[in-house]
Amino acid sequence: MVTLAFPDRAATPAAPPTAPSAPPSAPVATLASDAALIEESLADPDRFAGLFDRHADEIHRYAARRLDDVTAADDVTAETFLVAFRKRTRYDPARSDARPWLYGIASKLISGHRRAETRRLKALARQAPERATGFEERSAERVTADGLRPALAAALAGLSSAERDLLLLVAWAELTYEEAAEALGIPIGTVRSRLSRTRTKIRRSLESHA
Amino acid sequence: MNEDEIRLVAGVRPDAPPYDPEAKAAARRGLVAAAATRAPSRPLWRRPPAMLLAGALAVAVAATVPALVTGAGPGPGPGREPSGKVVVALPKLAPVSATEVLGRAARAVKAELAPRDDQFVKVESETMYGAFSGNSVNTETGETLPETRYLYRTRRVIWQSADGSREGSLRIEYLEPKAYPGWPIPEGADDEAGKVEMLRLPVCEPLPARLRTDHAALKRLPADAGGMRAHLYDSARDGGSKGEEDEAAWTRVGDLLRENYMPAAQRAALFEAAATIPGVDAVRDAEDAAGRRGIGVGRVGPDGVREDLVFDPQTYELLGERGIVVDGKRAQSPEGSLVASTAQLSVTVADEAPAVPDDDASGCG
Repeated sequence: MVTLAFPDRAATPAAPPTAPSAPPSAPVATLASDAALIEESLADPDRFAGLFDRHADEIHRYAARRLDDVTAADDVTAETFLVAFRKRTRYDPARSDARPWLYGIASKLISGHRRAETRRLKALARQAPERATGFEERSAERVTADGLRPALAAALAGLSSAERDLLLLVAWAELTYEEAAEALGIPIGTVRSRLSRTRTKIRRSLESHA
Repeated sequence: MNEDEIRLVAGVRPDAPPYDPEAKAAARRGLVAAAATRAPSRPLWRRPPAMLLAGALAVAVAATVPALVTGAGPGPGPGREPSGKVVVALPKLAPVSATEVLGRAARAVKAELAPRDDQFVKVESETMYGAFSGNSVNTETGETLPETRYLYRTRRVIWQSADGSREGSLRIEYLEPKAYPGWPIPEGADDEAGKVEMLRLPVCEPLPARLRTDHAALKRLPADAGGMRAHLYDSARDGGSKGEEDEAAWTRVGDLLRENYMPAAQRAALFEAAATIPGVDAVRDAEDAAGRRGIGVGRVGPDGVREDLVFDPQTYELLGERGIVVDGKRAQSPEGSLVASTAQLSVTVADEAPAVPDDDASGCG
């Protein structure tokens, strides 16, 4: 069943973008898994665009959060799917959800835009005053955290890229430890120990500001 | 497992700008083309030159961000007593037009710096702006946290590679905070005062030329007002923010100058171009964070705060930036209040940036 064909080649329009953490809007039962889609794309490369339709918005959001430059985020997103397309022959079909794989590719590309990320951290360190509209709408956690922004930005800047990649996949992309391990190609035990070390570093950095 | 630190980091997750439909469509077309040829076709998804908006917006969110740069004027020097008493007056229109002020500023160029590509631009500045927190319910205790505000102050020294090819450094020293006008100063506001931190600014893959702000790139910007204006509006054109082009262009002016050194020709062009942005005008009695008085040239932002570039009234040397409340309701602070203030203390050229200890090289992929 073809629900994810190119608009210019089939009557069925592309699936709408998915929400950040919401399931695809089409009924799950009618959707092939990412793994099945990737497998089909081996014979029919066009099918790979279905993966883009499902996950491009989410990957772009993550890139845009890490990079203070929307053009860089656009580039990272586009490149992520091109890299994924080239690597699709090596995709492990046992992984039905391709998001961790895509996040892993995106993470590597983001590290190639470190200047934009540095600017982001500097901007955080400057402590942005609230936008006029957003103040009441913000979550309790976020508002509380706002007072810590400069110190947290400094703490983030003090992490190694490997630590930052992992931490932000968990904290910003909301990946589980298992998904983060898959994304970065590291054992789950390494995820736990690296996160633990990272938390300690952040705590120490914050304490040095307290 | 205690994950407080992870939650804290999650709490400062920046908002993501929307995925521009054109960029997305271009990316998809690129992918389809790659699938059709079974080979990558990068050029297809590379968009035509268009300025980033995220950077501009991030700075707009950061409202009046630190320190603007002009010639290496002597400034008060590092030993000067910061700020002192701030006398705030309601902004009044100055008798000169913004165009005239900016035109004079463009001619007020002093001794020029000429950093080589392998050198660093070192900028010392003093900043003050709002720290906001509270106005929320603690999800664990159900207790409502009252909203608090105060003005936090820092002294910053930044070393940036003139051409972006070398690792730079950023030193931030936290100074004694001040009360946010109309708000009591909260407990713990001075916790950071006296602390010093160093940040490493690593080298990365160069940005596209149009997005770069390093000195070497600034040298290549248009040296005429028309060309510079087009450059400013390039940054406002993209990103799906119709109707905010003027504000984004104005923000870009600060982006190009802040903690940076723009050569005289481009600086003159930039000042002239800035004067042509709708909504930009001049006020008298603006004061920078070092207590230097000048004429403010600026624009009122959506938060009811007017952002000014502050110029010396005699020499029109650029002194710093300030934010002043002009709409008390939107800003939730009395009109005329000073809610942001920075001062450019020195701009010099350095051969090296101080090393910042780091336990891991954070390269660029």
